[in-house]
Amino acid sequence: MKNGVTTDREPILDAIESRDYSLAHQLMSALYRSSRTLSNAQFVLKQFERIKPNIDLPCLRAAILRTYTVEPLVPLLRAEAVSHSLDLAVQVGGFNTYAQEVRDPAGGLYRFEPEVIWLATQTRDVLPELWNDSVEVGSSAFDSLLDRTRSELQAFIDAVRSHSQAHVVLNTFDPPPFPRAGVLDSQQSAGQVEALRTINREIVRICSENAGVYVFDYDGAIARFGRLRWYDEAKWLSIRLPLRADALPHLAAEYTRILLPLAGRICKALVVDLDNTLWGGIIGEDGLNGIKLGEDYPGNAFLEFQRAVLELYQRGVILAVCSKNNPQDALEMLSEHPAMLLRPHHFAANRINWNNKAQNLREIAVELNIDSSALAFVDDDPKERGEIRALAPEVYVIDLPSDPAGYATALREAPVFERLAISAEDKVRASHYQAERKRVALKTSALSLEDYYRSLNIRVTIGAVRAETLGRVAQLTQKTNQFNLTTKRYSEQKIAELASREGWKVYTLSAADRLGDYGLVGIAISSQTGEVCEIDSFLLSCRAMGRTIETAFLAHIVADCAQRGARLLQAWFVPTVRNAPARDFYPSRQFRLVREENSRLLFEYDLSRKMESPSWIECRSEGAISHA
Amino acid sequence: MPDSVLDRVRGIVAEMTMLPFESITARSSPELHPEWDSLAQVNIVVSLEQEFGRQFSPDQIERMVNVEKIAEVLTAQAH
Repeated sequence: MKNGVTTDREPILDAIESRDYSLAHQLMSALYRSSRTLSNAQFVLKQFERIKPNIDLPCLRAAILRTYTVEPLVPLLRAEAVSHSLDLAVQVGGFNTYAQEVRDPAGGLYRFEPEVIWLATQTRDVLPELWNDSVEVGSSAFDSLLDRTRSELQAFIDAVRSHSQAHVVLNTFDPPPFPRAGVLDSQQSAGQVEALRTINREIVRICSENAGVYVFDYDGAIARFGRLRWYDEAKWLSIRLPLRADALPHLAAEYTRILLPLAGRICKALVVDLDNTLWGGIIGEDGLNGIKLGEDYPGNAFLEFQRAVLELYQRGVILAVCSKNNPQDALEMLSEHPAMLLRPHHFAANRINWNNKAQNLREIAVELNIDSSALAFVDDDPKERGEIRALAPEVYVIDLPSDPAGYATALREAPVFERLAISAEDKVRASHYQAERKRVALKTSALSLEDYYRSLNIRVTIGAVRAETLGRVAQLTQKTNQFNLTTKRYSEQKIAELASREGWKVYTLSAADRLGDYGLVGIAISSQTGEVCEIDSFLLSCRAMGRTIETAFLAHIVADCAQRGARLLQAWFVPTVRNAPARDFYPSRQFRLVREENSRLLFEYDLSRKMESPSWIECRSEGAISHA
Repeated sequence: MPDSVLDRVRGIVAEMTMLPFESITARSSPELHPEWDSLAQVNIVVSLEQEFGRQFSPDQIERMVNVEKIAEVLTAQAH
């Protein structure tokens, strides 16, 4: 140690010195993840401040309202977020003053402009009756506790909603490590633990009924770590910190599993290696019969890993293969081996060749039509992982331990696959990519592009946002990067608020063709002031790009604005790193460039002119919106 | 008292108060450094527990009034 700098930290300082900021960021992430201490967190955050202007990370502002000491959690939380490429700003509220803070529109909470408001409570502060004693479920004392909790939480949510569109996170309540009645508690159907479970079910219900409100299973987080190793009576009694020092980094990691999806910092696809990752052995050398996969160790460890991969597939994560192999051998193994849980149809893209994997990963991203920063990569070989980190640093690399018994856990621990909601679109995503391969085959065989479009029998339905589509609409504004003209990110609450404004419309577009249903893939938001309409947002999910659906959508909006009495349509193009595919959208559809402000372009369209909708698209309107 | 414990404590105090390592001496205390406030003190306690793999009693936490005293708490318990 020299001047407080230990040897494991020196490479980070060297990387910053030589201005390799991406390397510095990777080394910081590795340092923090190898040892999640407050000391490493402080060091990482100090260095992160230096390189922050040079690396482009998404940001999230989170306010933590609390009943106990959470201060040491803050650096741990921020360092954990940095290690997953999220720049997290945190503000902590006063002790036990959250009820006042959410009701003070001019106070520090709302001045901070939080995107997330996290109510960090624990049973002994909020429900001391249920921490210190047992209250029989069903008794009038219990019912009044349940009522009080329900109305306080609902009032909390309502207070936040009248001042902010922030996401809200509520904790479940933790039972004491030893129930007051000991093992007798579990013999009773109405004991202390059951009382807290009943209240926790009520919290889940409240969250499901309020848009943008989510449950953090605090009790579950404690159980995962170990209830007896969680609490620290000495620090609780002296400095109001109820947790042991080594439980704090675990809590920070658990918080991050909620914050990453709230920030949209998620991976859409997982790319897997094959040999010694999905199965034991090398297919090209050991052959189908020599591969280890089945009921005995280590074959059962690989089987469990496949189960973990399949869970992600069912959650809507796209799967792809990147493997150095002879393609025939690998495909034979994937389709023929009797123990395989993953089969060729689970994979949306394959790169089975001897090329460098960084190049293969970038090709996979292009084929799947997603940004390569939305890819995660898993490989048993540390050299391959190191190569990806060096050559494709935007890809999220998952480290596997040397023993395959730990593979499944390593994958399940990766927080970038966490989702807070699953839309119908997520569930059918996998089959979408199969249909997409058929579309590509059709495109190759079609005579002209127009023949190809006609052969697809594309049908779109345009309507206004409804309560049940709010979630999907918000999700699309947060996730869509490529065909997004203004890239404004909105929460569910904000969308609902915009839709209720006078003169504003939130359009949704759903599409299908003869090969499959795309689901809800397009959103446009417009506002009208007198005779001028403005397009606030216009976006199309990448899965529906390249089929002229965007033209049909725009033509519909043009017709709708004209019908509402507008004469002029204004629309901005706001360039980002990723939305180059949308740059020519307005000018190539007879919009006139009228102004340029800091590279933002303003276009106008004279609504006395009708816009042609592609004749091969069948366009239907839903509800009150009529179609020209 | 081995010097390394004192230096490790200095390092932790410097990190949690955001002060330069050289400015922290055996005599450094919350009274001498305004940066060493109650928040820094909580972080120092947590960091000491993590770095030394220990859990402190309320009495020990109370005795941690300067760098030297912290080092004493750490070495006294070790034997």
